[in-house]
Amino acid sequence: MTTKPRFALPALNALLGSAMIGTLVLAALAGLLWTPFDPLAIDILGKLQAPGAQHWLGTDEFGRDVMSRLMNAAFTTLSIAVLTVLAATLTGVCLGILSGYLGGVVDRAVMMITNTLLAFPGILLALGLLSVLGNSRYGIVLALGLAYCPSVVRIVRSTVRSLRESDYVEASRVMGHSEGFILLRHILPNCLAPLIVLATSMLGWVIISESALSFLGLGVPPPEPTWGNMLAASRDNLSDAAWLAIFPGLCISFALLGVNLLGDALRDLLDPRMQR
Amino acid sequence: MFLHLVRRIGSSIPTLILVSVLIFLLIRLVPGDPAQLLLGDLATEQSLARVRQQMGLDLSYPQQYLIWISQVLQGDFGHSIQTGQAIAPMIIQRFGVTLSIVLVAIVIASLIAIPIGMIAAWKQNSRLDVGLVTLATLLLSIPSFWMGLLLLLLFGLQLGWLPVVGYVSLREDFHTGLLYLIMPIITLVLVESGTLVRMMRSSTLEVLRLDYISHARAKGVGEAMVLARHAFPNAFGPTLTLMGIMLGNLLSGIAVVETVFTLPGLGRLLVDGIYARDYPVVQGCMLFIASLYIVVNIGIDAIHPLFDPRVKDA
Amino acid sequence: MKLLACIPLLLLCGLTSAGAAANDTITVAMNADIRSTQPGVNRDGNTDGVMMHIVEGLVGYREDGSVGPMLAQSYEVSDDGRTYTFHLRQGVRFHNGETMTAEHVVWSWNRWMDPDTQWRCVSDFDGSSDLQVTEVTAVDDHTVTMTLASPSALFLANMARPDCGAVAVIHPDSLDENGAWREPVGTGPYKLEQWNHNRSIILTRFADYTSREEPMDGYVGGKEPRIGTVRILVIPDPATVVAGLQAGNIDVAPISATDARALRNASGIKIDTADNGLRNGLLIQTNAPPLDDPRVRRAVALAIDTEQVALGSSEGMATPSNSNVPISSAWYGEVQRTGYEYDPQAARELLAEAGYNNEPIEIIANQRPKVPSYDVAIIAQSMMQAAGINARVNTMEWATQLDRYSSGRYQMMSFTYSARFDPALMFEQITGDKTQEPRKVWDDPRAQELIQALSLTEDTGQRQALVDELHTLMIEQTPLIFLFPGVSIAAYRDRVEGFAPWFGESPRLWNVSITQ
Repeated sequence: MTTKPRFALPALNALLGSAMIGTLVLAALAGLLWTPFDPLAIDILGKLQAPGAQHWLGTDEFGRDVMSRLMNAAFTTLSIAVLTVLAATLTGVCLGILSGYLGGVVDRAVMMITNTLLAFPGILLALGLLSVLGNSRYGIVLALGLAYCPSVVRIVRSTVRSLRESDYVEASRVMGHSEGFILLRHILPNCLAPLIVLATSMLGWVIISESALSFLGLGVPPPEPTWGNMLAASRDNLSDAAWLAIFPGLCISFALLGVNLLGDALRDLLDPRMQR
Repeated sequence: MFLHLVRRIGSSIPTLILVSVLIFLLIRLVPGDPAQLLLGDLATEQSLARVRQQMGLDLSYPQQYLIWISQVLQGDFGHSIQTGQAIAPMIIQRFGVTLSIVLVAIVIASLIAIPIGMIAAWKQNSRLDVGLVTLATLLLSIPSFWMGLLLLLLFGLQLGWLPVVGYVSLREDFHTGLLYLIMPIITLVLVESGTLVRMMRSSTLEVLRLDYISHARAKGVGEAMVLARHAFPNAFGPTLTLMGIMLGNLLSGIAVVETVFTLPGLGRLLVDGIYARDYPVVQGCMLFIASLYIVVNIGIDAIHPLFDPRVKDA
Repeated sequence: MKLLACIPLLLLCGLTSAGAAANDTITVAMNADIRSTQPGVNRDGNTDGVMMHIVEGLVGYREDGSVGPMLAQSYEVSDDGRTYTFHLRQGVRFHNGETMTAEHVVWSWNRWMDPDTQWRCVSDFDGSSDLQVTEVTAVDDHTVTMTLASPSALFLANMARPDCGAVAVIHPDSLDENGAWREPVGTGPYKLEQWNHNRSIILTRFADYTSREEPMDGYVGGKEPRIGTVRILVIPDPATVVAGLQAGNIDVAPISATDARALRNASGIKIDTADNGLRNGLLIQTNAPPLDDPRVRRAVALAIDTEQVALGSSEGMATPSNSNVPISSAWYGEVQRTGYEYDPQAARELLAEAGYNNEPIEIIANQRPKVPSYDVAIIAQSMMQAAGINARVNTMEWATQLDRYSSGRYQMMSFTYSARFDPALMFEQITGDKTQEPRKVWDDPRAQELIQALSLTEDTGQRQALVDELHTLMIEQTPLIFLFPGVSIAAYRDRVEGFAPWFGESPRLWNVSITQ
């Protein structure tokens, strides 16, 4: 069976994904400067208004404008996601290189920590750190960063290990290049492709985890809006005000879809196994 | 093989010990006093001291830990601070709820997703493939709790076909119990299918490119046979690993789905325990979940070679 | 909520098992299981509520929070205020058929005061606090005297406390041969039939119950077990309770304000409310700037529209009140009606006068479903902002908030005080020396003197004067801002007759009947 490689699909995915994420980022940034209403201003008399001319996406149980809150939440969620992925990747890369390159005791210690973290439900980790750090978005970044760091460690470690003994690294050593040079010149670039792919998927996982934590009441504390805590609050009025459950969820799914499309495109472009 | 398993189990013991210490410390680092929570705003210094003493919370941390861990080693997880009930039976009962949902959901999801993933790969880049992949990506982009809320809105509130909240044990009343499980299971099936379809598709694609498939085709083996006999066994490995990870994640992490549908599962027990600073409950749940995680991983690793010739050779 | 009604009736049958609509059975929903069957030992509000059907004490609380006789026919106090003589009612039977005598009262007392029992109220009677009972004697079969070290107006109030099990008079059969607790063998209108942990508590009618003559009043007065079986189902999820009410599988249930709004138009369901003994308000930490300035605190109080907060955070069911004494209490009078007049302009002026410089003020709140903490905080925040106060809500988990409460680490806090029946105890809850008890909100020597006097004075008129003075002083100093008492909201099927929510939070099922 011969199928012609069609590059249209990854390109389309990349375009669509970037457009979706771009839209959200724009909305989030715009939300910093301007929102239709004050996202925290309550209006008891105007509570639970269905979407309409004045409040495009309706109002919540305190009469707060849903659209303004969603815009504010976009910034919170996206900034948490980006910071978390950065934190997890940086820590993970360092640990992974240490562990893969040095091997021995260091490797075993790192793997032990990694396995322990993997056997640890993220909820408690998040709650513990949140309470210790005070319930702020940085607590969530740290907690989720710790939770996702092991996957980075694993990928980097296995790449490093497979490359350490490879012919061209050996060759490089023979040519008298220092270990640091080899690391920067040969090993890190090879980690880059899988890392970019992983980081993109991680962006999606973090968005889900952050909303899930907020949904359980363990995330960013209200009244500061996040998509997750808006969804959680919507449950009380599910039968009267379905829009409160629909719009925040749409935002989360929109963001995830954008990230997933972009991730697919990147994978197609970068993952050597997928290239033909 | 057997030796390997034993070694895996052995090597997980230090991890478990580390986990138990971490859990023990972490839950105590979180502000909030179980005795205070039990007594509320009526607490006085005397009553607080009395309750702390009753619960052994007045001892030093190392003492508390040693008492707890030695009880656990004897199979006794202690008693809940809030309700005074024994924890081991509580965990088992709650786990039953979670397990029944997760197992059924994963089996259904894989029965749907594996053939679909293979067909998509087989018809790579056709309209069908693009359609299926798009659908899978869409499903992947819907978090479980939102999916759950949407199903609730549709089937529970708009159509009124299914009960909105609550739970009836299957043992108590099978038919009614089943009705309460439908929506949580559909939620998980939908959410997990997306991931499984994509995984199965990409690993099938990889296998289909290998030489032996071309050989089989060249020998005139029918396409259906090629897929079923030659491609599937080798493409299933990564998907199996994914299912293992999924199983582990779900068994511990469906607290959100349990919250949406108010199911008395293990995740809820843990989250409620955390809220109530019910130290023994949190410790028991976490240790149970961590062990489960490790067991599932070892199990998956053990059957993995059956599906991946490369691992077998190595 | 019409949508919920679509759930087939069938669905809840599993929950209540067969025969829910039986003529002689009433099904009551409760949000959590009881802690134990030993009154006043391992207990919470639900436990007290159930136990009050099974056991009784010498005295108990009336509807308005005053103390009335229960197993005692009457009682008198000696002139020096130290000796209480209880004349027991005759012919009162325990659930095992035996007749109650003075010996049982003394035996029960000794059992409760035994440190091994771990009765939570030991410290309220053994002299740890001001009150010390030195001697309890059975004078004859029907007379018991209790002697105090010094006079106290709080003795009877403490004897009547539901969280102490009303100092239940129980039969020794309540214990097994080793002296361990078996089950409550009391004198109440219902007997404990069965306790299925985490699922249900079954009470049955005590056919030999002899009622007092007076009409039913709080936990005392006439009680008649009119229903053969009371089945209390443990259902943690409010939505399940709502569905069960609609399907007719649940007869009586305490519900939340949100659910009450949803059930308003449901057929066959009645909803009643009563102000209860809980008090919702905003606590203020008075020992740090800017809130150490009484003018700033007063400005906060004036910035808040009590009525709007009360109505807005209770679906319009609560009654606004700035008093520490709940509205339904006998001690709530003209003086307690006076509070803060909503006046944002005056608030601004006071702030300017005090030199308030837009310092941030954090209001801690929690999102437990049972209390309006979060709603109150959010609404108060926006009112304070409107008056130029830089208020910000910080939502915490309840456990963390409680930790802050008991250590006093907060600026403001949206909080709900649990019920106390006697005004001295109500004010004692909020008043004290912060260096000794950091959880206390109101650290004022004059207030402590008044409370001291209140707990020593027996005379009702003098006590009312003290309560009034405390109220006025509290409003003046504004160490905290009470906004409204809690509301007991109960939904019940229309086949239930004689049921009403009341000052106590737990449903009472005596004098309740089922009509068909």
